[in-house]
Amino acid sequence: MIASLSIPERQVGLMLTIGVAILGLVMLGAAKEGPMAVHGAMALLLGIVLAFALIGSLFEPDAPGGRAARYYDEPTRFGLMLTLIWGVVAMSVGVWVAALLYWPEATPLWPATSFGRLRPVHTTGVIFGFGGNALIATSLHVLQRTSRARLADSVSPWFVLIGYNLFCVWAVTGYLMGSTQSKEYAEAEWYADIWLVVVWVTYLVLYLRTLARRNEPHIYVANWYYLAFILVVAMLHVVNNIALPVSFAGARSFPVWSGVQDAMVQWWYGHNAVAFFLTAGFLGMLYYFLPVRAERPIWSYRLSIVSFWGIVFFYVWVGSHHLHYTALPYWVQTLGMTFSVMLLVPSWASAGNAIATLNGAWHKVRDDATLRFMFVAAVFYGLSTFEGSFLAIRPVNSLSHYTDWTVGHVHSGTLGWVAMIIFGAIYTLVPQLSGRATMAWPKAIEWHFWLSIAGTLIYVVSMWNAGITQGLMWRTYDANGGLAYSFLESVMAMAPYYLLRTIGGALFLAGTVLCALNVRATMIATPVGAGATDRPLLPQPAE
Amino acid sequence: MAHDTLVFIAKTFGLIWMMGFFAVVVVLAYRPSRKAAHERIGRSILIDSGRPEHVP
Repeated sequence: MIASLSIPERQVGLMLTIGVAILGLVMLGAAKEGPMAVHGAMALLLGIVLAFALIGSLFEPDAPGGRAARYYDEPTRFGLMLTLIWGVVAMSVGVWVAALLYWPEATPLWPATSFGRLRPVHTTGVIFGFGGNALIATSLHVLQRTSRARLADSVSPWFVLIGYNLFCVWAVTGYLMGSTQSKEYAEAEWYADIWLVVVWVTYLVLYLRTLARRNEPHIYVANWYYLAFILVVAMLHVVNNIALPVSFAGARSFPVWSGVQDAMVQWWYGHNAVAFFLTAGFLGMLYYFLPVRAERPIWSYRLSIVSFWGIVFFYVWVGSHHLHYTALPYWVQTLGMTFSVMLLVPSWASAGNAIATLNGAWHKVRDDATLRFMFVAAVFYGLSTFEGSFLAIRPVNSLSHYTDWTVGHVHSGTLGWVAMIIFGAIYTLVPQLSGRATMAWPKAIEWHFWLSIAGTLIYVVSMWNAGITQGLMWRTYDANGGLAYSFLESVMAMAPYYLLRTIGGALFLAGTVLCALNVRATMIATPVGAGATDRPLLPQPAE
Repeated sequence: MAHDTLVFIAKTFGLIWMMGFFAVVVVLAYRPSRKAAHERIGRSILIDSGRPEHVP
């Protein structure tokens, strides 16, 4: 990765890494102990290791000539590796905590391994580590291809990727040490949040500068989705994380919002994390990789524009459906519910557009497991958005809320939609970036596909059963008007479903491990001097 | 802000703004003069040569 940088760029990189090391030293010196000191030490170590690598490289050959005429794919390749490392680690933690629900007595006595600390490691690791790295890596690829322009500079993509992963590592190790803001999907403490803002603004600036250099008159719709993802996540992250640190020398902080306002801001953030992190960015992925893999243009480009504005406009209003039957004013709950139902229209427009694109290419879906991943992703996108709109309706929510139905819904979205489209994009991209026609082990894609399908279905169906059983047991009354079941009885009834969900998760994890090994084998088998096999940046003379 | 004021704004400006924006998007996306351009944009991401380079 350093070899792709010019000598002056390596010097800039060196300054940045020294900056990170100094930041780490200041954090360590100020905090002295606790999570912030450990995180300072991590940044210090990262800065020193990278600085040494860069100093050594100053005396090595300059970047290969003519690179301005090529796309810059090294950051994408690095990002995809990080995606799979996070995927394997975070899904393993997921399977482990799922197993703990079935065998709670297996919890080790060490506090860092308790369920409460490991669960956010799973959610943050999967959403931000696995999903976020996949979004950044693919966005840099899609941005360059659709703009027919090289990234605006070569240093900032590395700052974005390494800085973003530093945030993710700070977040998950903080949870293990018991450091949390107690806000779902925003558990990381104040200094990590500020660091993420710096990284995210760099990402936005890189994206906009590259778009400004484009050689295509039109900005392809995938970029709109990626940009919505970058822009809105920045807005959500800043507002939800406004907090006052107890001391600048410690990790603890308190949010400025309180009570029902805090709850509303949190779920405005929380649901839009689903909307703009787990949907908009991945729709960008879908709108680029599905047509490219199927070798057919999107069924209706115009419909993609209408659904883009529909999704962007409706999603920001729906957060309050997480707060039905709470102290939140009734009309705000109704507003969230109404917009959630309306959201079905643009969601199904996108899912339908993707499936209609494949109409006439079903033989490719049958033969090509990579395209099948994307087809299944579109189907699950349609299913889970329907389910989401349905669960947001107040009386339905009275049955489903606080039960495992919600968990099942989330996993039909994350396993069935988000992870499947990531795998489709990875299997399309990795051979291309490795200068090959196929992955190293084409048969393993087929295995991965069926492991993922089996895992997702077992997981989601068992959680639907679990959730509806819980919801019904909690509202069953006896002849005297008392509750027919104790809470403990509803917990005991979950045992078979929790075992099944552990098995489903393990199958899905096995597929992800297979994918990681396959990607590693493909990248190692890259022919020397091979470039990306898709179209070149500059028009080439006819052969 | 009083509840009545908010409801008034939501039912007048809010409604017109949201529906108006939607109408503008639909008209801009579906006007016949952009049909050819949109079809070209949809195809612009496909590899035009059809034959990838450098495949070993």
